[in-house]
Amino acid sequence: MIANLVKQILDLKIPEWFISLSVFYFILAATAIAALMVVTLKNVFHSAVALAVTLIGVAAVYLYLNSEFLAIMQILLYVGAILTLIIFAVMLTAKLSDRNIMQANEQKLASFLLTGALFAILAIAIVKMKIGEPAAGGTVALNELGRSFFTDYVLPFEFISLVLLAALIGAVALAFREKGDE
Amino acid sequence: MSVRELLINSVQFAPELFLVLAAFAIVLFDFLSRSKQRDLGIVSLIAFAVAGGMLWFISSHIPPQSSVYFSGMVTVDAFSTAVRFVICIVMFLAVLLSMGDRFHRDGDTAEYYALLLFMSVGLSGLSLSKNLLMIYLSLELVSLSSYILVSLTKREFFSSEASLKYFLFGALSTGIMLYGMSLVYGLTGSIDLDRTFAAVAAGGLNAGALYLAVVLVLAGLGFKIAMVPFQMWAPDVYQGAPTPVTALISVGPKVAAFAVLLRFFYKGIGDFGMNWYDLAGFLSVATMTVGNVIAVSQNNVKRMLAYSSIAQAGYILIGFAVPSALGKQSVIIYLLAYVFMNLGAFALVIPLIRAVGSEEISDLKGVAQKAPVAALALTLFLLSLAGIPPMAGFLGKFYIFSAAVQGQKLYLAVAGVLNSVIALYYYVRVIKYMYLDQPEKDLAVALHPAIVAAVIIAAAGTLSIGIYPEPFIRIVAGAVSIF
Repeated sequence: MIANLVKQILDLKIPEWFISLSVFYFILAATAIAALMVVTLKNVFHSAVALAVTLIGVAAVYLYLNSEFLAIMQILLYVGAILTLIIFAVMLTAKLSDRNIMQANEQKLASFLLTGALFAILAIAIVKMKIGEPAAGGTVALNELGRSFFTDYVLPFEFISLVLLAALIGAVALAFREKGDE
Repeated sequence: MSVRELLINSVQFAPELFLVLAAFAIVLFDFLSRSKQRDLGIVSLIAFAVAGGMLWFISSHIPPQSSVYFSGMVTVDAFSTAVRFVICIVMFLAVLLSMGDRFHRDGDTAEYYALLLFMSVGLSGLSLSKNLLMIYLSLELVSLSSYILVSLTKREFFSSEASLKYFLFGALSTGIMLYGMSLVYGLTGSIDLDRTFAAVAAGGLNAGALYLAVVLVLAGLGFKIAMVPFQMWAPDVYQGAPTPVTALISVGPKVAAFAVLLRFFYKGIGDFGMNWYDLAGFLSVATMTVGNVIAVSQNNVKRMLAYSSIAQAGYILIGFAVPSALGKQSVIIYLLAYVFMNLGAFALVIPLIRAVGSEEISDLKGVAQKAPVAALALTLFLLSLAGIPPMAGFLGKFYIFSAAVQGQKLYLAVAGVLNSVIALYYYVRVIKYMYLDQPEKDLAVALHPAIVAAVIIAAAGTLSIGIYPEPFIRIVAGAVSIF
């Protein structure tokens, strides 16, 4: 009977754009709900898992925006590396994984009103806004991307390494201090 | 862009490259030193002195080959050069203050000075940026360095709280600013300030969305200058951070953030049918009023100076809110005066709170009898902050209020003058405790040579700007001529 149903649905000849669009909206909804779970769930570990869903959802949005490379990097770096680190940190910090610590604050109503107002303003602005045309349609070739990193964008590219180095040195200094205290 | 072009482009940025190399050298070779606090401090001092000298030499002998470098990412003009020079002075004084106050562990000393150097590169980057991406990256470098600097201290509890608060508020405000920048990009199709300006000038953009974008960017940068309503982090962070770091973050990021505000708003957005001046004017009145009114009731001297610096940012915002050459001039002149008088005040707060063993203002009773020179110098800086002639603060306020009157914004001038009267109360209160009260206990104020040097430089700056301002005004007028 199910096979029958599937056959009937396939026979409906749903236009491709409709499928594409509904999948897109499904991804958006899943991403938004997962993001909401990140901030509302009581257990930090569960929040981390929900964060994984959010990040994968964002990667899927990148795919829809013709940025395959960005999508792969998003999954590789954020889900693969950063999220793993977060989960490790949660599991290794006994206090965090043992008890169900409330991570939400006690001013739910105020924060809800404030963020709701901000959301409404942003939503209205974006809906009314006429977005400028992107410089060039389609995907950006990887070698083009690499070339622009070392030509037009060489300064920001190198500057990022300074930012990362400062963060690295700071992390070492802070971790070292914690160790010295115990 | 070829390698040759890259190298030619880099010549103008030799000071920043040198500072980065100095930071590397400090982190890599700190083991060579036995007395790190002193040696690495001297290395940093030399680095900033050399960077300042290089900047001086390059700006006077090697004319910029073009106005933009690195494919339009940064621009070298009189304005950015002037701001970079001020940043060198700020960092030089901050290193002197750090050498005169022992607060970090020996193991952290190299990281501390390296982060100071990284932060200075970020501050320079902010004044040079002509592209939203570079503005964001420079701001991140400044923020990350300052979050860590705030937490490198022995006073664990307050410092950890301050650092976490700073980090959370900072991350949020950066996010808000990025959202604004993404709206600017969505509307104008570019992150280059020249092109956004052209797109806004051409018209046809959705005014509401553009205004929203501008407000969001203003909010993000407003965090850095502790503008109301983004000021709530400042008192806790200023109190919890080591005093030299407090002195630095009350001045350095403010100078650079005001430079970015001027460049982004006047060169990147313009005023085509958008009245953000009144918003800036309203925020300036709110900022100075909140800062001054709360400062009156403070008993902790660092908290008092925190609220005072919020109020000072409010005065400077007046100059930003007046769309005239005089307005921009007044911003830079006030910032220059503020650098010397605020760092000078903090330079004396360091040995005084160490000597009395507390940060309470009422514990400074009778300090003038025990340490007459330190008390006199602190009085000089506090009176300058209050805007009493002939100190630099008076010249700054004079310029700011003249700009407001000339720009037909009388209410800003009136609010500024009323606020100056309130401010006088809490500055003079410190002086009253120092001079009119009898000391309750015996105290010995030890002035470290580095502190003495910092105080001399700051006092020289405060007095020379106040008494003989012509050369400074000429330089500042040249710097803002790019707008």
